[in-house]
Amino acid sequence: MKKLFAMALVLCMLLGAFSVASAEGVTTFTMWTFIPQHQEFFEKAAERWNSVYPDRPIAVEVTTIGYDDMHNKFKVALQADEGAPDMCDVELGQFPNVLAYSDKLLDLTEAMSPYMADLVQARLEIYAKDGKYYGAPLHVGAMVCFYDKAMLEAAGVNYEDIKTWDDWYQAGLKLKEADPEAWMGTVETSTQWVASLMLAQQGTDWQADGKALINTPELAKVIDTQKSWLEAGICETCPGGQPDTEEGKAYIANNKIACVIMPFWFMSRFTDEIGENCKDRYVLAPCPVFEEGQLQSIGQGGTGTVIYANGTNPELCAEFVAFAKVSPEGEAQIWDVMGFDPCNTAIWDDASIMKTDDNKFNQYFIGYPIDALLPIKDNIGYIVSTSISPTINNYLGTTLWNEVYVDGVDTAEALETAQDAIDSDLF
Amino acid sequence: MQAQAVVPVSRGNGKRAVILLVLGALLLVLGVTGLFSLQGKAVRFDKAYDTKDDLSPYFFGALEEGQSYSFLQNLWFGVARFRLWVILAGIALIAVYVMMNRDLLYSQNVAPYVFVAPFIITFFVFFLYPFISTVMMSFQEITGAGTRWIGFKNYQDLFANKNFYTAVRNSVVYMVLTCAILIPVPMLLAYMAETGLSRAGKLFKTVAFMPVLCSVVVAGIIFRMMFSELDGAMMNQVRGLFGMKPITWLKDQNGSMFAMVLLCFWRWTGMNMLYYMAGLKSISKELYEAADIDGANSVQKFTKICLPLLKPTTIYVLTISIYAGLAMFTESYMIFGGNNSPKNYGLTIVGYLYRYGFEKVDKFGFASAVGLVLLVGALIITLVQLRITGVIGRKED
Repeated sequence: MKKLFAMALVLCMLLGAFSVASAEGVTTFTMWTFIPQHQEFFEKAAERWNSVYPDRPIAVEVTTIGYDDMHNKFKVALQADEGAPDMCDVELGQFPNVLAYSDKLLDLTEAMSPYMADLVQARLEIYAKDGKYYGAPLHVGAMVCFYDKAMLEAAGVNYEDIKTWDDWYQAGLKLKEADPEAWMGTVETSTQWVASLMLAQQGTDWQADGKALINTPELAKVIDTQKSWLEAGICETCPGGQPDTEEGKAYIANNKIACVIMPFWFMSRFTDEIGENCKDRYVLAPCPVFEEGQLQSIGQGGTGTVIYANGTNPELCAEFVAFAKVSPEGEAQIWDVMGFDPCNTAIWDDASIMKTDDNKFNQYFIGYPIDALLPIKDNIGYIVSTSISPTINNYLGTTLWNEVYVDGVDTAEALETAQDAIDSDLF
Repeated sequence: MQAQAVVPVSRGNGKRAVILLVLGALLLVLGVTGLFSLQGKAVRFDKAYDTKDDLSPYFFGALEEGQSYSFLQNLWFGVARFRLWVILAGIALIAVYVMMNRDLLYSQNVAPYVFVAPFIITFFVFFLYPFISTVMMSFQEITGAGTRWIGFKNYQDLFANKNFYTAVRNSVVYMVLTCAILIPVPMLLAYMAETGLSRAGKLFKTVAFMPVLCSVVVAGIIFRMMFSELDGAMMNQVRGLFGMKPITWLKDQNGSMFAMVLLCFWRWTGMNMLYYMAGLKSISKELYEAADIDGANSVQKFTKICLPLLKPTTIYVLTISIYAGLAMFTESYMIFGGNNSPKNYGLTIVGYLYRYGFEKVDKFGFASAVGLVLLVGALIITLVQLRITGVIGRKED
């Protein structure tokens, strides 16, 4: 019996050895991401790659790790120059931190160059340093308004008539009159999707030339606008701090919010997490502005895939990432699998890709979501992200918004304190 | 006869084999030096060596045209590549030496060193070396490009930073509150379990101890949901029972601290109860009987017998609670779903260290300074506490 068992064991080992031998020639890449949907996307992309390039087969081993954990581990791995995966999805807000180790990352300029002309330049720039592109972009992340069409109509508001923030405010008052339990929208306290949009509309940013721009009249206007929403009772501060949190999504699922102002990729949170409750209720539209002619959207959020220069065959890896994320077929997949607005805006107009009726995003929302972006296609701004951004974002998300929106601190006073605190933290 | 025959042989072996010991020790030192000289780039060095790649980034610098490595340099590459085998060979030689001098195994001079060796090695590798390294790092700027000595700059930055004081305040308040709650309450509960509730005692003890077994991560997430600001969240429902309006717990300073202290209370009451029950068991029954005869009631018995005799337990619990309070991190991290909390209400000293060491880049030196300040602070408070309670510095007469 023992002998038999031993023989079986030896046989297994031999078979194991053979199976390894037969898999020779397949290059296996390791990858880290913090979004489960990306795992599926990259595994599918590897399948497509193998059918297109059967002579250079690859395999991708994707590991999904929590947001903070993954970025912290990746930074430490880069610093130690040991233990980093071959590729990693790095979130935009963390990108400047990772770019500090750009000498250990592969320059993707060459690999992406065949497709670069079709891509939104601003989305490439956010992942660049000294003219070299280190991250393959995923989407534009254009800000849009998700309006609950029926709720607004019941209050006598047509969402298409909302052109300025003032219209939006008036619509909120009407809504509140019709249904005291409804809210026009939310005010974020842990991040700044809307505040960034409003700043960009006024032609400014959080920073310029490596200095934080906090104590500015533009930001004061942003805060006072949102404060007026809270004072008029048309908005609450968002549970969880912002819509893209467990609590925020539960709040939206209650069907009491007439307008969610988030980037285009928030669609996937509706379909995958908020669920049936909100199906066929929301319609997408460009965002309001302060004055006619201002930007109706900016690109926000996103992940850039970086490649570890000392990993397994980095050149092949770069080719694969370009194939998966920025080639026209890859971009079509980004829309199809994840519902993101691809960086290749040429395909936005392609109804055979963007307006298929079996697509789950087209089914979930009223009308075709992409229609909200087509009129503003060439007019999507962006926010700068540099090495001082994490410090600024940290202060805004933990302190400033809570002071002005929750504690009711005077705007001018809070901005002055904020400027000092951020400047002193940038050592 | 026998003894005469054995002694010269073993002596002779011992003399000859000393070479083995020296060689073994040399190989051991060489192998360990090889490991450390690679400075954490071992895996890539091995790969480069195996594929005959350029080795200059690791040792000896770049070669000029036509130059090749000398024999000794090549030997060193070999040692560094096969460091594991070198170390094992060193250990094997030493083992052979010991086997040839078996009397060493029975030597009363050597045995104590062998027995404490595991502790000494662990202490040096995992405590002393990191500690010294941290002290050094706190005076350095450590970036991806290299390290630089910068004197006291890290400490200057630290004491000039506002958030540091927020972190210290939060940690100290948390420490004081947890000590104030987690000593009297478990003591009373233990007293009750040991005396009054003797029948329900076993079940009561089990139930009280159960939270200790719960992972802090799981507990933290549950608490986050309980203290959610949604109207349907548990703590807001509880407020509703008393006719109070829902509040945004975790966006409020007191609410946040309450949530963290409650989590700590829920989790550690059982553990501290266990300490106190052990302490109560060691108090002899005769004292109670004597008190009964004198007509003492249970309050008097508690204050006059239990309280003084539980002092050693209390000092122990206080000491660990002080350190645990100051070093708290996971609870806050889980309750706030990350290291960032509204207005840094949940920021602790360790959270602050984590923010600079791991969330920001190139701040390892600064984070080391934070760690040392925490160490010194905790040490001072504990020493003062031990001095006041008389554990140290007491005259033995």
